[in-house]
Amino acid sequence: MKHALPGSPLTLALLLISCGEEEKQAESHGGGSHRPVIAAVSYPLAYFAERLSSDFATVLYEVPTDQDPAFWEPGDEQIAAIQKADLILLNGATYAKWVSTRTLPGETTVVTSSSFRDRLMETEGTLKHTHKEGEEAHSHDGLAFTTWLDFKQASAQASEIALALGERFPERKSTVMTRLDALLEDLNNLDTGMATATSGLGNAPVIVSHPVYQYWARAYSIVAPSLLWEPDMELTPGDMAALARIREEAPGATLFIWEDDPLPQNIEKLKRIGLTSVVISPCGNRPESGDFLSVMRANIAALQALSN
Amino acid sequence: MNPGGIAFLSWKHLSHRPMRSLTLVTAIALTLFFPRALQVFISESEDVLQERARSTPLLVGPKGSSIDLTLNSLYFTPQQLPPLTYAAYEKLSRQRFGTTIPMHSRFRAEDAPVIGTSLAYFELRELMVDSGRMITRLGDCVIGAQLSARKNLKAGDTITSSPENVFDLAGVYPLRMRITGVLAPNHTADDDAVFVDLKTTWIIEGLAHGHQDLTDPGTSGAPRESGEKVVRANASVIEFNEITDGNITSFHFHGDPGTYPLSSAILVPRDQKQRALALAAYQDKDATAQMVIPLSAVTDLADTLFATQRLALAAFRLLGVAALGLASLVFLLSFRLREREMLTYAKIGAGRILIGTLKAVEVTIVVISAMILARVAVSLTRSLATDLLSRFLN
Repeated sequence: MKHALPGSPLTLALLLISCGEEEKQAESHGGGSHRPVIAAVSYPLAYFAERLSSDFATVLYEVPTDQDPAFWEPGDEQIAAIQKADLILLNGATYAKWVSTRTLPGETTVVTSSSFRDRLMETEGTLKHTHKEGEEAHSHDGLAFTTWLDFKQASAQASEIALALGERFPERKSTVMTRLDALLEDLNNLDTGMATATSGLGNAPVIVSHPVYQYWARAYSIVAPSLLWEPDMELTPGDMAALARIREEAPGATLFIWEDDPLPQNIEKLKRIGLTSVVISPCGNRPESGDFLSVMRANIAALQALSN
Repeated sequence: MNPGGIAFLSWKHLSHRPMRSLTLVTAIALTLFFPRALQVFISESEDVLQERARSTPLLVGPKGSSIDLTLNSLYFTPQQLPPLTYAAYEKLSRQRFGTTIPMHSRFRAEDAPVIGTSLAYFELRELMVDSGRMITRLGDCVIGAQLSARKNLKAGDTITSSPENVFDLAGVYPLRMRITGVLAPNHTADDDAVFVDLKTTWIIEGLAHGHQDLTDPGTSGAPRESGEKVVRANASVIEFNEITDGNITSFHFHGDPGTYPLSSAILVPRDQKQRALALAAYQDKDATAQMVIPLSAVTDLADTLFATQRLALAAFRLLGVAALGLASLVFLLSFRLREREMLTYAKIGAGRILIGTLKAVEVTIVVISAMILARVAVSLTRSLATDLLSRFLN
């Protein structure tokens, strides 16, 4: 009786066929020559995706570092690239305004805040308008969107990404879930650290320069009235008057939070009226150095330094 | 006489009276053509309908005629049923039976249906962009190959949605849409349609719009109510009828998105189990939406067509018998008139068999010509059946 030897043409043919099948499977599941692409609308989501899938996927995040991803407007070619991504990670809560006016494939789009959509906060104090008599007045500002500054929400978003990756690339599911554990541990540590740091602030209100700290304030029980200041703007008497009005409404504030390093003269101006400036970066866009974790740790350290 | 001589004499006689010969050929050809053409048309129609229905596994739409729902979703016939709400579509999506594709086909542009859908529709129908690129934003559209050729439209041109009623000034919103690409032909209703993002159809419907910034003091007609944080816009505020890079950020939606309308939703179940679960989920008598298997609906329609076909065939057969009887009479009368000619053939030595053969050859030439003509006409009908069907449906 003749047997097919290891080097026989039949064995070679079978080997070639099986290799071809493996390649096909690998390609369809994120391996092989096609490296999956995961598009993200904000840096925190891009960071979570990188942590969970850097070995098998490329994260597409093209927002220029000098722009706010919440208000960035992508071009047609950038949208075309995003449409082709294997997964598109949205923040939800009306973050990235362009999403509502662009065409995205529903099947690959994941709204990472969907598990807590009933807890999203509406923005207050915005100008409303109506178009005709009897129509309900509305504003276009919508919801507070810096969801990840509540680290429990950030954990939920990371979990949603891991779930979507596991569904899209089932052969990578166990690796992704292992990495999720590590990521959740980091986020949990941030949550504990932030809770400790903010507890040292007492019950006094904290004035924030921009309306992006709503979830942070809610998560850590802080009263945080907001202005609409940019870190690089020169403070005018009008701005100082607005600040004075806020201080009247929320007396006892000694801390002023900026999104980024403010102008030195602004720090000085606030210092003269008894307000200490501190930077709590929302880290919506990719930082010039470090990453999401290091920026958040720096935020916590800055708050802890005030207590010491 | 040799066979060539018989054929020559027969041909000479037929060409000597061309009108009579042509009339006979045409009458017999039509008698043969009509029943066969009807069969071919119905058979081709059934194939075309079933092919498209097969590639559309399940449909969800408002309760009503399943055939109306199927024809509207597959062939973009005018919408007869009330709309499906976006909330119902979202509910279907959340159940995760498979891929869900929204369809909104209420509006038209340049007489072509405007189909609001998602990118998954192009994958389902294997529609590729032949020139230009896919839609990327509100106000973008890709058009079918036939529409492109018929209206001489190409990527970079614009097409404007048609008002449903020219006297209804407050009705649908004429929107000038940017054609970003022309699709490769797939020889279906898609070739004559305009495809947009679902949200674009909601702009046409007036559920979303863009306008000047009302908080800008320079905007006319934006008086602020004293004591309230509300601006009441009046008619002088300019609403945009075209979406551009400059005004896209001003477009926004009003009201509860859950109430926004769709015509239907296509469901492509992940597997047989999900298909069964999806069908079971819509069995509830109190459900406001229905789930339809397009293939079943099309088969029902084909059955109706077959019943009609049987009636028509019976009528055609009777007409055919009458027409063939008339043709036979024409031949008999013709041979009677040619008796002296036949006597001459006999006097110069032609036997009865030869004269009979001569007559038979004449009849055969006419009948074969009629059969060839009928065959050509049937082939033509077969090739045009798809287009004819699309025209009948629209």
